[in-house]
Amino acid sequence: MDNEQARSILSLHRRMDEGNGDPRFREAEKVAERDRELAQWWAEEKDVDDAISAQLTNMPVPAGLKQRILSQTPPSTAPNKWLRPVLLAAACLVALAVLFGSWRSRSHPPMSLAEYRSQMVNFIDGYPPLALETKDLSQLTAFLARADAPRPSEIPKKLRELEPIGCRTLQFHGENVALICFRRENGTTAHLFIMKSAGLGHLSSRDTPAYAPSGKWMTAAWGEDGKAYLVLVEGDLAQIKNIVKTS
Amino acid sequence: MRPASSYCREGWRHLAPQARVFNGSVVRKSLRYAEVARLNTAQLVEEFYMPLYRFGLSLTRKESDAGDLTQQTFYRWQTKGHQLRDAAKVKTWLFTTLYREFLAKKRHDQHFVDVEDDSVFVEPEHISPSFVDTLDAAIVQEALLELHDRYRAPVTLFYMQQHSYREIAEILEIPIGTVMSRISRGKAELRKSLSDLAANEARKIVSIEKVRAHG
Repeated sequence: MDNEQARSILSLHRRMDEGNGDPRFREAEKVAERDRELAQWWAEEKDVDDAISAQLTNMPVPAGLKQRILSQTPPSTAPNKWLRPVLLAAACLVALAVLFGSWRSRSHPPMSLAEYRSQMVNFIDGYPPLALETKDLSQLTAFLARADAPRPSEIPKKLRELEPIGCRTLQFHGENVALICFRRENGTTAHLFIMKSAGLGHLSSRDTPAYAPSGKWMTAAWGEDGKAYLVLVEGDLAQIKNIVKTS
Repeated sequence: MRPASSYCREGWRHLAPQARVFNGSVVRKSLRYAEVARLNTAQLVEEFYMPLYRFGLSLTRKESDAGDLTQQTFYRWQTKGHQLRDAAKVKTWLFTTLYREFLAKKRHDQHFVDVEDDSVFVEPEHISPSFVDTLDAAIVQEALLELHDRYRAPVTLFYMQQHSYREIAEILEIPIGTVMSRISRGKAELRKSLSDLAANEARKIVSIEKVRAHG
């Protein structure tokens, strides 16, 4: 590790990060031990960071905020006493049913398209941030490749014509899922999820996707080249059909 | 210099998992589901409302919105906090919830921007600690709020000195590498902004003195 690399690593470490076991940091620290100028620079960096921290943590907080928070009364979430044994019994039954089901159908896929669709919709409803934001689709697919996430073999023509916004990865049942977002002409976003299709059971073909509404979303799903594709748009069946159509 | 934020870390100790010594090293015993229920909301408010408000202010740039976000975060805690399995994750849960509330309130397409930084390290402008000490806290706050959206949240969490990189990545739901890249660029931008703001302040003082001298 040269002086410049050590500098870049040290500049990102605060006093609280010292001793966190990061081997690259340990190595950079050793370089600083041998280089007095670097050691001096790093000591000043930490002092500057501490000085900025001290200033920021003195930002005033409105008087009365604490009281305002403490005075809000949330709806009670505690179940009634009589309900507790009923819920417990129901939970036991569900657990037994799950155990029985998994024993009966070990060869069956552990996940379903419906569950996948529902989880991806929930995920989008949480306004997740993107890991890479660019209008360049090739950069997005390169990022997904680096992140070991499935890349689309072929994106529907209409979707490809939209302006890309960004991408990220997430996990579903331990599988990497890629998400690419596109801006539609009406300003809303179209979301394309790609994951390996193994485990999702039989999927519709590219020519006849499975359409299903989910909350405010209309979804289309199909399988191609061992990958499962799921598209989410805000709109009706005609709109999503227009986006995913093959010709 | 002792960072002012350390009071929160010390305050956190009574909520932290019990420690026990195992083979000569301190091992944290995870608090589990039942112990989450025992966490006292009033204690959590006492410990976290100020850092949460400051994080909220850095995101929204508006005091009223930051207050609302902080209040909403604790409301979520009271209604959904029982779903948390590990009490040691309360701090991260609260900050993640505040950040999600912020994103949810923001129009969806507003948090998308067009460029992404690839380079991890950007050499920050050199300024001395004594220079920062001489700055008015309002100037430092102004410089932070002027940061580009993508850098403001990670840089604020970095300077709050309450979260490890892993926790910052969890809160913002982005990879650690991206966190480090954004902090590096954000720090450089903050330092430059501090220098510029301080230079402006100095120019104002010189102008006033000149006016006085001529007056």
